Amino acid sequence: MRILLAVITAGLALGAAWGQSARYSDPDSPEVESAARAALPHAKVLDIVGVTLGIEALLKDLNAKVTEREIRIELAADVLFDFDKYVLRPEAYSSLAKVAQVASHYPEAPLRIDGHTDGKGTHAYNMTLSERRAEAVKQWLVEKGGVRASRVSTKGWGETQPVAPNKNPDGSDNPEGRQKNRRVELTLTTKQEDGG
Amino acid sequence: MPIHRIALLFALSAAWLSACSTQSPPSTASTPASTPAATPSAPQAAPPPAAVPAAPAAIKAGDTNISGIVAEVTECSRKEGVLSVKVRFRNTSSEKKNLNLIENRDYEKYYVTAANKKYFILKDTEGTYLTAQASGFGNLGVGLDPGGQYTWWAKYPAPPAEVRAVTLYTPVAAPLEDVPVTDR
Repeated sequence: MRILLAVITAGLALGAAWGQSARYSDPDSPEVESAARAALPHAKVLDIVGVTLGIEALLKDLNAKVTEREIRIELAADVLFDFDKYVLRPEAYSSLAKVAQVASHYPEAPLRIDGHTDGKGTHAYNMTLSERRAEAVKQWLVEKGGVRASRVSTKGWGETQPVAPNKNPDGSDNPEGRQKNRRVELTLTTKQEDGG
Repeated sequence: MPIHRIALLFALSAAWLSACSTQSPPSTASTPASTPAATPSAPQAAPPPAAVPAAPAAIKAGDTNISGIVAEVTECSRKEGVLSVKVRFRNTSSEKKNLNLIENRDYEKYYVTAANKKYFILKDTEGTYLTAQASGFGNLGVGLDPGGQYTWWAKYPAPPAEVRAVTLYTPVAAPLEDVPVTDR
C-alpha cells in the first residue's frame, strides 16, 4: 500500500510539474502581457560593473587631459571614421565605450563634442563633415553608451581650429600635421563655473 | 487494495502524463518558404497554402552553436515598460537537428544588455518565468527537421526610452548585438 501511494504521489507530482509547461504558451496573449506588467516592480536588472575599468585607468587609456573643471579627450578621426566619411568604424567602439564609462562617472556633467577636419577641401565641406562626425559620436554615446542626450552638445569646426600646421614652411603638404587636425574632441565639464 | 484498482490508478496517471506531454514546445517542420532570409541550403518545397501567414522578417540574425541552425530575432519591441523578444530558430541544413534551448531551468542564461545594465526575464508572482517554458524536467529541447523552425520568446523589463538597441545573450549562440528596439 505504501509503495502504491508513493507511486501515485510521484505520478501526480510529475504530472503537475510537466503541466507547468502549458503556462504562458502564447507570448502575445493578454494574460502574458498582464503578467509581464505586474512583474515589473520585481524585475531583476543588474549594473554591469565587472568589466568596467576604474576611472583612473579609463582616463589613462584615453590619454585624457584632466583639469579641475573638465576632462578633455581627443580621439583621432582616422580611428573613428574612414576617409571623408561620417559613419563610425567598428574600431571606434571600444574607445567610445570608454568615453561612455567616463561620462557615467559624472552623470550630470555636460558633454561637448567638437568635430575638426584638416585643411583640405572647402570650408563649407569641412564644416558639414565635422558637424556630422560630431553628431555621429553623440548618437553612438546616446544609443549604445547610455549617455543622456540632453547633456550632450555637438559642434563642427571644420578646419578652423588646427592643432598642427597643415602645410610645411615651404608650402608643401604636411600629412602628419593634417592627421593631427582630423580629430573629435570630447569635453566633460565636471565642475560648472560658479554663477552670479 | 485489489490489484485491478492499482492498475486503474496507474492507467489514469499515465493517461494524464501523456496528455500533458503534448503541451511541450512544438517544432514546426514546415519549410519556411515565406521566410525572408532563407538560405540556399534550405530544401525546396511546394508553395505554402494561401492561409499560412507570412513569417515575420528577421531584424537581426546570427549562427547558433548548432551547425545549420540560425537564430533570427523577429521581434524586439518595447511597450508599457516591457520588452518583448522573439527569436526564430531555423534549420537551414538538410538533416534533422536538435536544439537544447534550456537545461535545468536556467532561464537566466537568456538576458539582454543595454547601457551598462543587464536585464533578466521577468517572473510572475509565482516565480514562473515569462518565456517559453521548459518541461517539468527543466529542459526545453526542440527537434527541427530540414527547413523547420521554432520561435522562442521572452518578456524583459524594458531599458529606458533613449536606448534604441540591445544585445541579446543566449546559451546557444554568440551574442546578437545591436538588435534595434521598436516602440509599440
